[in-house]
Amino acid sequence: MKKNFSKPLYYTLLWVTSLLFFLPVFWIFLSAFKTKEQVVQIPPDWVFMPTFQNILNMLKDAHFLQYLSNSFFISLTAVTIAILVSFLASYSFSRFKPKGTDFIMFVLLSIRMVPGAATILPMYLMYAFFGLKNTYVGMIFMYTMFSIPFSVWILKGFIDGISTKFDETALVNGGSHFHIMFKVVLPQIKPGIIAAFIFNIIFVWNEFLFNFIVGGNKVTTIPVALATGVVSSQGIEWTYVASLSLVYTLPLIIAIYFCQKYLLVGMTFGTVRGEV
Amino acid sequence: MTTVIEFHDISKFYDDSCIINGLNLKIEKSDFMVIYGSPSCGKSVLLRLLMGIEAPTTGQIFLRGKNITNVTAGERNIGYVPQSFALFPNMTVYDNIGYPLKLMNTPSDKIDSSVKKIAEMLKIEDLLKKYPDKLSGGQKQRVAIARGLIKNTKIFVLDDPLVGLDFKLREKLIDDLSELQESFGFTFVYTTSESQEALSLAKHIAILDQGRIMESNDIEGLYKKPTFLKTIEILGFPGVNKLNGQCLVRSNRLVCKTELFEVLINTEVGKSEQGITDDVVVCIRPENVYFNKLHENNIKLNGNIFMREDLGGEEIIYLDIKGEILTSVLRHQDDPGFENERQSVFINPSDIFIYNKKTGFLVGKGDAMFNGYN
Repeated sequence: MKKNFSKPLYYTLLWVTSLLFFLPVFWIFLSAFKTKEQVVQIPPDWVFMPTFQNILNMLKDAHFLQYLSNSFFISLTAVTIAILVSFLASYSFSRFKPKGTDFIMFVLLSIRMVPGAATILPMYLMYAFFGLKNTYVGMIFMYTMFSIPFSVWILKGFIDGISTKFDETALVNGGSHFHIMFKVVLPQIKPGIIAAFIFNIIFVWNEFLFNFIVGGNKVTTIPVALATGVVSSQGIEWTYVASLSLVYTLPLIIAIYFCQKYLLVGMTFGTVRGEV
Repeated sequence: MTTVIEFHDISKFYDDSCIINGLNLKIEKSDFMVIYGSPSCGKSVLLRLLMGIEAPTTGQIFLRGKNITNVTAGERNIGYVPQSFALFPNMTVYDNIGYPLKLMNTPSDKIDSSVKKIAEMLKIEDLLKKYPDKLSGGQKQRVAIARGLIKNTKIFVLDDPLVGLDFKLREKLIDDLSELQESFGFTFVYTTSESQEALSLAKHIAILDQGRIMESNDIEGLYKKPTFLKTIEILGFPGVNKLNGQCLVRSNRLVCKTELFEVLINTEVGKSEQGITDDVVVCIRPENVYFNKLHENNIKLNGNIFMREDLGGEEIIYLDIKGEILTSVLRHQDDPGFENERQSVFINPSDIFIYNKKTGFLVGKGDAMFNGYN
């Protein structure tokens, strides 16, 4: 009896909490299709005639396409390089077990724990010294560096879960180590690769601090544009903020929708290695 | 017979730890050689050395008469059936079988005809489009063997492939493997830590312990003259009776003393020079513990039957003799019809094997010419 009562209550609570968290997102999505007056109206209009003018205006803005392409280019390139490097490193750690592997893995994870604010000043000085500020190479290099530790951790867990008997079978049949890596192990850790890719894309896509400090006009991504490029002589352009937020969020929502099972695997790796 | 595989004084060290220690072993053509040893005794390492996945620290390996110690794994042309079969889960059965040929850059039409031929031979044609996760244990084994066969080799290495499978399936696969080996005259090198599996499959068994082959012979040879304690432990069902004992010298003769009896040792049988020691293990096979006196010099022991286990054609009798448990095997037709639990059993001294407790080597057998002092 108690069980029958508590279950609907439990789900109601879950739904209410979810909706509360979703409300700001929903509001910003709705605002992308409102006029300037409707956006600031109190109480807000929940039912209204949508307009696509904000989206069209944004698409006409020359900076917008640059922000969007920067976000896509920097995040995809950095994460792709990071995954490739991490895969090679993870394979070595997992299979060859060099001396100090545990310590190196600990250090790698520790790097990920250091708050961005603590490293931003030395990073800025270093980037200024090497002339990497406001360059694509600099941004890609930095995001690659930040993505590697987490990727190595995820991928090593997955590779550890692949029996070395597969490697031996390939070796006995004349396969090289590169063949084993890319033709034997890689296809079997596809869920891990996708999970690591998505987690890192989320991180790089949303990253603000480093792009704001060591980036510049040339390499500005959408999060920085959202914070800095939305103030006009008439105040904050809320319709622009809403439209940009919509375009900024949609790719991630779509990616997460299609890859959610891999994300679950990534989050639980070590307990359900490779199980999708 | 032709020797196709020879390990010559092979050692393998990992840092300071010695896994294989001066190992020598010869394997003949068309033999079914089972390398038996406890888990983690170095069986898989030995196979990896044979396949070229790892190099020995010292020693040489000969394959088909050639020294292959420094030849790469891919060039040795050995079929490999690993533990749990290791079928690539992302490939179909067809691709799994054709995998070795693909690595050798064989044209696809040649791969196609070879895969189909092998699949037909092993009766797995209907599985070719399936993925390994849709196969039963027996089907996986056949696919793994097909993958080895396609290389056109006659030498196979099977690394404990039946481990973890259920009893019925193991029974079936054991029959299949024996049949396959017989039919095609393959040379099988098979490792296991399961004694029944070793006995069911092997033509020859090599006992691996402490990084060395302690004993290697055919099953009959090992049964008649097991020179190593582990050998007598694994051969036969039910397991051998073991008693702790001590060696003493009396009137210039070596005597073995246990809680139940004393017996003279015929040291000529065993390796006396390395076997004589204070502590020994005395082994008597259950089938050599009789309920009828066969000879004047038989050792007589009195005990209580406390359990009888009927296996259908025969019965295992458990006796308590002064606190020591002895088992005996009794065929139903020989059943004397016990009237009470108190019974006498008789042991021929020459059926007693005495082993050095420390090294496991045979010290000698009981002396058939003299009575024990019971």
